[in-house]
Amino acid sequence: MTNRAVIIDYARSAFAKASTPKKPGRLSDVDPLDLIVPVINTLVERTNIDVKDVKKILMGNVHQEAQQGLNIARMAVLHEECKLDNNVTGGTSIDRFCGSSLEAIAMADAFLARDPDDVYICAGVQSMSIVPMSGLNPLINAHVQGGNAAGFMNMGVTAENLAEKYEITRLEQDTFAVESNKKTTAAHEKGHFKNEIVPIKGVDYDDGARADSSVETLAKLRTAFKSVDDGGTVTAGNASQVTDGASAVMVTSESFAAANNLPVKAIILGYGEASLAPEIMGLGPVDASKEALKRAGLTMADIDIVELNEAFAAQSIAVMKEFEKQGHKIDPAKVNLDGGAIAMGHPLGASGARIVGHLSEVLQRENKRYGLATMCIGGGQGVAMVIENPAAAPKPSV
Amino acid sequence: MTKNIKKVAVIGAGAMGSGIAAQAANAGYEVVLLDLYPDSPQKAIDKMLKAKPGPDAGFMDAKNAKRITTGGTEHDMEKIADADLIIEAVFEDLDVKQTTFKNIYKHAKADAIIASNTSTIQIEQLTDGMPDDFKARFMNTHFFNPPRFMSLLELIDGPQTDPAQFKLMQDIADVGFGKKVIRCKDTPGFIANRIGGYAIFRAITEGTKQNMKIEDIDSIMSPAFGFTNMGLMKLSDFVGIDIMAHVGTNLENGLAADDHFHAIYEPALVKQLVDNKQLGNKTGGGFYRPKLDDDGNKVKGDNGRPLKEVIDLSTGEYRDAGNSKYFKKNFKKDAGSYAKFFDKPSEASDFAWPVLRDVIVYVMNNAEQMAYDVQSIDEAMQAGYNWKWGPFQLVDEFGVEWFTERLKKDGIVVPDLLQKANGRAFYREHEGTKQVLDFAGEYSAFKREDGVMKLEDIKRSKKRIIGNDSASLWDLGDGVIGVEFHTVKGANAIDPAVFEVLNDSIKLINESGGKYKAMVIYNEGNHFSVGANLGLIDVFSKAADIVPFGFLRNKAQAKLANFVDDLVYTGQAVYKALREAPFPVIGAPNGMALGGGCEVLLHCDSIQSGPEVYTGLVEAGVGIIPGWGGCARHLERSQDAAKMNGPMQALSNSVLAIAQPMQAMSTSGQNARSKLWFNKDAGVSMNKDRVLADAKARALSMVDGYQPPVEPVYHLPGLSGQASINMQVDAMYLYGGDPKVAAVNHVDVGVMSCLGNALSGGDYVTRDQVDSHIAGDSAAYKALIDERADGRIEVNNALPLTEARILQLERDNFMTLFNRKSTRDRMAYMVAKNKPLREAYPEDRPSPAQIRDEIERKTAKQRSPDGNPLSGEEETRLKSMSKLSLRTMWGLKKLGLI
Repeated sequence: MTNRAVIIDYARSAFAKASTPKKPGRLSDVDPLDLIVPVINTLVERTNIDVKDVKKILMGNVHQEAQQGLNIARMAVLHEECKLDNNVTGGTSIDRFCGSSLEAIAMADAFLARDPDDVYICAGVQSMSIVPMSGLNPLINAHVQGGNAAGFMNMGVTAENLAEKYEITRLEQDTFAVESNKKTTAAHEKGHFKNEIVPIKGVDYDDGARADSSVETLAKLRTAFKSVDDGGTVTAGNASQVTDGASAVMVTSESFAAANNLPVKAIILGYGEASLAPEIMGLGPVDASKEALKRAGLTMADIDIVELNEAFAAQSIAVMKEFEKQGHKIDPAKVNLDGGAIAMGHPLGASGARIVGHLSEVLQRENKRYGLATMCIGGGQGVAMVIENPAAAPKPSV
Repeated sequence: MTKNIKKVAVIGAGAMGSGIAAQAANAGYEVVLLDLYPDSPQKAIDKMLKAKPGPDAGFMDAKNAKRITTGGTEHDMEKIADADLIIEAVFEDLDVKQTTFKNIYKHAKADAIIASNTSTIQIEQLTDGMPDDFKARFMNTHFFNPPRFMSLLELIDGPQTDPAQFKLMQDIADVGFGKKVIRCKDTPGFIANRIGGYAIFRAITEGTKQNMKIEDIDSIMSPAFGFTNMGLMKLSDFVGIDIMAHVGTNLENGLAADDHFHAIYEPALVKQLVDNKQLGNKTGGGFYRPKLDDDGNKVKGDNGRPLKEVIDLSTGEYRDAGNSKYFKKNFKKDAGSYAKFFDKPSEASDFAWPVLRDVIVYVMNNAEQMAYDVQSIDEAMQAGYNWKWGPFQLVDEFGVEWFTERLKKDGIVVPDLLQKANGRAFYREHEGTKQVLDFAGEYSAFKREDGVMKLEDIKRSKKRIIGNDSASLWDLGDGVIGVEFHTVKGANAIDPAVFEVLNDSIKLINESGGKYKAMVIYNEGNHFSVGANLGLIDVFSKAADIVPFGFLRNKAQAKLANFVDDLVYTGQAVYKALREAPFPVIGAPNGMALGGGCEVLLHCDSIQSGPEVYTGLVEAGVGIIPGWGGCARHLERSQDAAKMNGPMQALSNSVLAIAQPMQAMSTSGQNARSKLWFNKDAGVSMNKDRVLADAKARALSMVDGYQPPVEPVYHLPGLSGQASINMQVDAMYLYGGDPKVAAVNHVDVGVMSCLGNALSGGDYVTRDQVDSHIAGDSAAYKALIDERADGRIEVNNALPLTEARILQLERDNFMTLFNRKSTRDRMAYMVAKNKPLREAYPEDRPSPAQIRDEIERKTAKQRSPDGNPLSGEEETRLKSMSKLSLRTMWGLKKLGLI
């Protein structure tokens, strides 16, 4: 049997709404390194790992400039409070937009296939307060911009495109958003995030999630990307929130985990990716998931829990409609049990590790076996990962 | 700001009190605003901060609000303990006011000036029972609503007011608050409301008697006789019918029994409106109201404008409002003179004559009772009611001799003052000075406040140095030259003749051998300048369009393009010479300074602004981009102000400022400073009459050791920056919505693409451009280009670009846009309708990329101005362009087209 990559532990900061011109975000004054280092330290302490075994931090981060520049992954190791050994652990920063830190886990998976005795910290961090969306100096090569500039760059317009294509109404989107908020606030109440959130500056909850969210209040919001006259439906209320946050997953091989008595949260079964037209980038999860399932040797019917990154309500609904169209209907009851990015936010670089890490938590909590984590990526891509909860697998018969 | 005082307290946070507090904060004073209800002041401040630009926006710049502290009169009176001036603006009730004064007296310091903003109560009643040391410091400061915008302040002293304190208050009100201060006698209604109230009620009475339509009354009592565009009745709706009723009641109760006001005062209609809560615009209706359907929605007419209803004077009920046959009539011009108009019976003259006659006679009979001289009566009406002419000036317009005779013919007793005038005009020019008749019937000098300098006076006493029909040069004394724009109708559009005068002025100062050492650009028109003379370009453009035969038409179009290219280049060259001249240049604007008018200011060394200045680069509205160095100058300011490294912040700032002019335009002089339109140490005179003197002082203060500014180096992102700007523009375009409201339609996408090109530094630098466009080692750049197969290098922020590069890009993109039909349409529409054309989307909305692909790129001639005044061939061309524009404007005037 192959020596597969496994997830040992997962932690994150709370996701806090980023600053607006009127209101400071609760974590907006925290430098991105000061956000991620305590999260990494928590993994090191909790697993009691020997830091001599930690080969590398693979860090997802989008817009690698200013405080996020200079190869932030290595900077994290050099941080005076970091528990890792800078003579041992290296750092690689990864930018695949929203998919960055999911990609980090996939890279660890690939490295481990060659050298199974290493440990990787697959992390992600984003201060959207300090380095705004598109960066401090948003510049685009004119030849890349080409004919579909808006489809490429403006995510909101891509969501409007999907709403139009799949005839998704404003009400459907707002209802989806209200559900997400209710699920996240309920999960907080039940303490579902207690194990994963590392309080930073006293912030231990995702402050974007609103228990009082309602279809009526969301209906009052102005459309953000297309006027109502022109059929616009996407608002700040049914889109993912702009937030600051960090997340990290510890990954190693089955053999290393066994040899070091590290309990395994989840086994990585398959990774998939997709490329498609930028203006419908939101559908990225469809082909990416199909590829991940195929590599895992499973079908959608086998999946017990899905973490589908909620970039936009319209985009999430479109993905589910497309799956249904292709005969792989997903039961909505299996999707995002604790809500998603619409409620808790989407700190670009940190979201991938969050959905995979949290999926491993949910599988254990619900005692389910197979989980799928997937997300769309600006520019027309999708990534997906299938994992298995070993505790829920049938005991091998002798 | 007057140095003597630091802190102003205002008691009462109603509309007047909070507006006065805001104006005190605008003036730079520390302010405390108290009210019986301790929350009211903060609420009033928040409301003013939220208000859209207009009468309710009390603050000239939002940050002024921070100068005000608030509180309640019950617990926070100690906050007035260190106030130098305390203004009472509480409810108009004698008891309430007297209680307030006792409270103030208890807490105020011993030398604080105490003033009341009452409009109805006399000083003796107000101060009854108060100690003498209170009376010595007490006076009335009667502000007009809204206090920021209405320039009149009636100042009234009581019998015991200390003249020194009164003089100090005059200074504070004039220099600090920026008001036209008129000293009045303590009589009911003082000056302005007494005359204004009489005029409105006299018009209503006569209108009712003659069964006139209110629309006709407004079109007659209009600019035709020096009243505002709104006319008397619509103005009442604007001011508030309740305010008018209040003025009427006050006059009725306060004036002597034999006062003529009682004879013409018929308040029934006004009282009816007040009883029905029809208080004018603030309640959705007064004399006029919008026509509503059964559901309460506004009904629109065929032209899309909301329909109105108006009170019918014969019934007192509303009926559909119509257009007046007198709309925009010029009675004087049509009849040949006012006298001829009045002497020929007609509906209009039969109405206007008795009303105007009685107003003038009433004022003359009561002048000495309310005012200290003739001049202050006319100035009060100008400043308080926005009349072009006060009553005495109006008589001068009619002809004093004719007016006197006509009174006799009408059987009316000729007022004493008119008899003393004995046929002479009330105002005259005598040996280069302006004079006015005093109450004794003798001419005396027209008075100016100490330190006020008016170009009007200089023009009367001195010969202009040089000039033409568009601009003139004046000697302001002490070696300072004044450049005055005076093109059509006080709008001061800029044309080649203006450039000629500016160019000649620079040379003249340079060659004066030290006689002249500084320049102030200033005028006393309605606006500093509304921008380039589009009318001129539109005429040439239409002329080229009507040329028959394709071949000739092409030639005409080429000639036009050539003219425009030269016009844009010449403007750049003259403005650059202005900026780099070896002497300080101060821009001193009042009113609007738009487009090319804003560009002049951007090239000045410093600004001394009036209080109310609306400035911005608004060219995009007519489909072009700033072409007279506006892009270069704004980019320079944005670069200097950018807080982040990297090229995008400065670029984005400039794009936003120029692409969305309505949001970026300043809403005051102070606000223009905050928004980068003015240099950050620009001066703002609160009183617009003091701008010239302050500007001259500023110019002189910069003479010693003056160094002209050096050319900036630009670091711009080129094609990548354009792609980034386009991305943002596309998002706005794709948002869609109503193009009349939305920021970006398909035409805007084209304009902004060209704007992005200019502000990003363009695309490539070719070998022949290196010397003038790159601020670096020319040889090295040429060597690099020689290695390249395509013979050019791409612009990015590592490349140091010169100002000449930006100016060339301004011209290239200007010519590209000028070549487009959509731009010509926008210009023609602006010229014809005086508002911007907002095109509806085409049936099939093109993609932004399609729109950009369709732009036919044009280039202007490759040249770069050197910062010196034009000479030689370039100067000859300037002079011939100037001559052509002067001749054309003269012709248009002759044809009655402007």
